[in-house]
Amino acid sequence: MNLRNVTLAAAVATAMLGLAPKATLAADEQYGQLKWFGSIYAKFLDGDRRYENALYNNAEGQTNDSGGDQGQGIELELMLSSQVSKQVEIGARIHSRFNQNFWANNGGFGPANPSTGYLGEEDPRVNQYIKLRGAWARITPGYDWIDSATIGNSDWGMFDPFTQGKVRYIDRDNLAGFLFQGSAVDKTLRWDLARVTLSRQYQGPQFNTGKLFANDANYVGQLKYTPNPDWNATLIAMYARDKELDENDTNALNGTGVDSRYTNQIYGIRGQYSGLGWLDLKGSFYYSDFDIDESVCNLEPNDPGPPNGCRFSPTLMRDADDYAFTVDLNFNELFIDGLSMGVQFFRIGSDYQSTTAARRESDVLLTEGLEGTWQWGTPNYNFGNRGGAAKGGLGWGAYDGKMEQVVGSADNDFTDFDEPVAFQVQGWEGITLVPKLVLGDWEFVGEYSYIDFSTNWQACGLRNAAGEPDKTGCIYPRMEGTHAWGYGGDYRSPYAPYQDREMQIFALKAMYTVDFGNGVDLMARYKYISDEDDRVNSQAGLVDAYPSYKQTNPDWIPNMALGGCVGCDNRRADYDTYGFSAGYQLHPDLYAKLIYEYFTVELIDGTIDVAPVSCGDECAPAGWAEYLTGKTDKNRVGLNFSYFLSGVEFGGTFDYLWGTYDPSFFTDLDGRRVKLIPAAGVTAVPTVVGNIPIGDTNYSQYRMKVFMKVSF
Amino acid sequence: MNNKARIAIMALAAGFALAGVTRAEGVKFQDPTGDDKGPGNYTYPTDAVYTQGSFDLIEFEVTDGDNPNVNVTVNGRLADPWGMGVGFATQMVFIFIDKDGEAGKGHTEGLPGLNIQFAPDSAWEKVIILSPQPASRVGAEIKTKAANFAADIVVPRRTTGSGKTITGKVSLGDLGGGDPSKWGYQVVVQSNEGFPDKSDLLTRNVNEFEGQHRFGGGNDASCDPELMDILAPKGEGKPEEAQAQYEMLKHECGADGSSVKMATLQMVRK
Repeated sequence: MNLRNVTLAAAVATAMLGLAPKATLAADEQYGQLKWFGSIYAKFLDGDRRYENALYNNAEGQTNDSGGDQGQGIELELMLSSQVSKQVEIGARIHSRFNQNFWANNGGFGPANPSTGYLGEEDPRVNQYIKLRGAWARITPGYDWIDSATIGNSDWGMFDPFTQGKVRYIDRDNLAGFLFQGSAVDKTLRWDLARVTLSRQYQGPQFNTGKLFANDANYVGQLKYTPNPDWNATLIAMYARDKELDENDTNALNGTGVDSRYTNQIYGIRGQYSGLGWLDLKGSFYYSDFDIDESVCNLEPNDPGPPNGCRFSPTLMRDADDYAFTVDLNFNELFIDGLSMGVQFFRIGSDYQSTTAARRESDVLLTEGLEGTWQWGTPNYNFGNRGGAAKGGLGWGAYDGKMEQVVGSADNDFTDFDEPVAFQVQGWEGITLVPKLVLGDWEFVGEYSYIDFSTNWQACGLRNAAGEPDKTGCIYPRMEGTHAWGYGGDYRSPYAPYQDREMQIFALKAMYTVDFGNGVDLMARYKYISDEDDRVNSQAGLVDAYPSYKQTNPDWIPNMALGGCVGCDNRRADYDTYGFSAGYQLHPDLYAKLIYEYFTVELIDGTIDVAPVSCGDECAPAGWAEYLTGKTDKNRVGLNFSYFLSGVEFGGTFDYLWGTYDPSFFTDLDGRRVKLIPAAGVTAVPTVVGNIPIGDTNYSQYRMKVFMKVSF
Repeated sequence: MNNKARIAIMALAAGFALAGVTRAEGVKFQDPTGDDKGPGNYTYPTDAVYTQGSFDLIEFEVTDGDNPNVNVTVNGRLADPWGMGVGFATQMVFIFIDKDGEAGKGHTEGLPGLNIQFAPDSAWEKVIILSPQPASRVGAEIKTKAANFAADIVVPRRTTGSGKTITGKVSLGDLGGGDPSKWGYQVVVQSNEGFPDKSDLLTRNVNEFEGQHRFGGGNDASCDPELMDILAPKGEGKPEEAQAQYEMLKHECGADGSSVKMATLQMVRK
């Protein structure tokens, strides 16, 4: 979360979460007073992609509501709170939202104009609408057995990202429910119990909760015991149920029964111990059980409805159970003064399911993860098709922000390029080591991670009656899927039907403040990621994985089952990242940082015979699957600044990016993968996604985001 | 890039690190664990970001030299859940310094939002603020809310968190020179509040009932010290020092929430 989000989050917390301003008044003078406060936030975008669907960069989501890199907009956030009495507090927030609220809309005046795409005053996305974002009442009755009851909206941050996750900052009051909190044994034992209404918009298969929705809820409770400063333990459990009408109940005279569309139970335990001084221990374990009505996803051939109805879905298509754990060892001093080490063992099972887990702004793993892998870059080097997939994502530049690993269905809607990116890590298991060394004014931080995958399987782990791999009936949603074919994978597509993958991450960062003037903050970093995936590892698997193709390119000659070449679909990606920055306090109110980063990736995504398993229209030249085998480099020069005056903050990022994509091609020679050298006169090589020019592609991108925030 | 080159970069950096400078000696104090309860009964907010020990001061150190590091160690691993970018997020620390030890010289008022005062013989001349907020933001808040103290408030040019320790680098010149090992100190551990009350200097409130982002155990009015831990005399970290802290933070609120007796802090010296 960037600084803007931090301040927004704090503001929302103030209004929505019981952080009412405490004026310097006597207590009884405060009761009944209504306090108003809020913010004015303005954002200014510019860039040379020149998409203007909405006032945020990430160009995904609904038609007319996805992103862009153009325009100016301003929004109002108004919050109120009151300590009604010693026993009752209330709070509420009303907020306008950007969406398409461009200044150029002239206040959202006038009718729609389809020829220009203007949606008109009647569309709330352009007419500067303001709506209630949330309201709550908190009751503190003063009884021994309960501390408080909160009714209304909350971000649910008192629980954890594996179960009932915190809701993202801008929408942190979108979920509502009942929250009861209490304590015992001199506050060493605390409990939280909540009924959180499920969102009908995403907390279920196919991103909905079916037709009967209003009383679907997650029941979650936790019990935290903190007997002394050295250790604590927490038990947590949740039960989410999505109900539908019982279609077998035909007698409405005695009411109508319900069935479960899905249920999701999770039981977990967390704890930490820090009584050793030199070592802190922390761990967590969660077991999930997910049960789904088999008719929801129409997975089997004899199910009613279209097959694979849950391709885009945050849940598995059949019942599943699995576990997840993390174990953290933090060595506070190791061998020499100033050296410490964090170690994390982790496993997020492929079948671990939590429909209410955090989808962003939480990080369940210690590793930096796939930061530096061009996330959501949608480069489209091959065709540069403005009307095709290039309009999605963030352009060549991708995200600047760090990676946040989540176990919910990762969500990066409504974000700008300078914000963190959530990445779903179902299936990840391994170890991360993070040494830190502080020597005088120097600080060094490193990382080594080895990551294996519980999603390493053939045909989703399925076999047919003959014992051969057969992906029919795979319960894992494909989502975008084919993004795994390109750079760092798609952030919400953790599953591939064929995978045999391992990944290693090395990172090193050094920081030093030069004693010159106000101090020059220097940073240098290097990061290397090795990502290898053998994909199909048997000839029988090749037959199942590559039986036929949708011929999206008539020039391409498919090679069914890859002619038996098991190594021809192997994938290898090597990412190198170099970064340097210098920050300086130019003025007491102004801090600026100059950044240079250089990224390279060398990728081999199999031979030109290979296409993503089950690839359809997304493999067309205008589709989102792209041919990216070869070497790509990217340079970034960035300038960040922050400027504060009393009550107002300005911040911004200017980026200029440029680089080159140098394609290479591989083919099958006698069952082996070999490099293909195009013959003289050949200018393009046919692949499933189109005829790829053999020459270099140069690219560049400029983008800017500046904001102003006034708090009052 | 080949693997040899990658290994070379790692090895070069490691060698460079190991050839670095050595740490300097300085004044150091200890504080008992488990006394992060303010005057003895304060409780943490209920949001999961406020992890156990986050506000429990266990060590305070000032290194020597012209540009000393000020290190504050708490009994919980620092984290950055709000993306502040400096290695910590929820803490905010005030280090009050009595350079002369003379009664009648210096300030006896606390800073806005803390609801404390200092004994006359512990009046402070300088205060260092360790905040995860950008120095410019802290400076802007000071201009608005503590303008009369601004000349005596020092915001380090760089404040970072690593492991359990928050570090700020200051210039001895900004502190008016002198020998830090001879000074008296009081360390006040509070919480970074990005959207503070109109009169509070980026501090988090303490009310009667804890909330998701609000400390509990205090008073809904402003008669209670709003902090979670201080440096308890004698600064040796013995368990019994916790009681000395609770005594120091004793205060009295009127029935209407007015302040009858304000918590009065003493400096701790070596």
